[in-house]
Amino acid sequence: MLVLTRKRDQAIIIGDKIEITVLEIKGDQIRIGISAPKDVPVFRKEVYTEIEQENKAALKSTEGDLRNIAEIIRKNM
Amino acid sequence: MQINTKPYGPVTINEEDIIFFENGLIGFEASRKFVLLGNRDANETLIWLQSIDTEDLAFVVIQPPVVKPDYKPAIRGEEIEELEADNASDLLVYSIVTIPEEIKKMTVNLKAPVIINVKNNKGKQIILNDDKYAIKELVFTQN
Repeated sequence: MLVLTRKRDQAIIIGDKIEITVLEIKGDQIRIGISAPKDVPVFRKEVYTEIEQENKAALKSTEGDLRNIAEIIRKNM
Repeated sequence: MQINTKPYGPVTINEEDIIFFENGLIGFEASRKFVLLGNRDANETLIWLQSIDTEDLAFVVIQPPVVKPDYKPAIRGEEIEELEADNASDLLVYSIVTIPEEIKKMTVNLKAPVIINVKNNKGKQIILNDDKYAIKELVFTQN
């Protein structure tokens, strides 16, 4: 991991199209501005991690006759 | 070709049914080739997204409108382009289902759907920017 120290209003450029700026520092929170091309998705890490974990949890899905479960879903809707 | 599947054991599939996920699935980036098992038409509510190479890597998937009739995922233009589709309507959208021991607590991941271009069999799991769609959306609402 590359570690850099920035002050408020200072920025970092990644590649030639992504720019990260420290906008505000308040206590233990910092507000970060991200400038990136539209084809680069940007997410809070927790979201990505949560989805990864949900995919893993989905693998443990109880097998069993999906037809029964599908029937329950259809009756419920 | 024959593959080993989690739900059905050995299954014969056609090469042209293989869906290629260039970036795999989230958390499973190395697994690129999958196949949809089970009848693909609307009658089959729950089907499997099975990895070709790894028998245990198989997900139950559902078409989101079954659980959320007004589901309107905002698929980004870049994502549509990445799958070489002309527009979002060319894409099949599935949600991965998590079925716990207690079936009533079943959830679907509306936040990170799996999208597939049926014309070229390219797929991707995307993350929607929308806050209104949950990673764990309960299938059965409490009564």
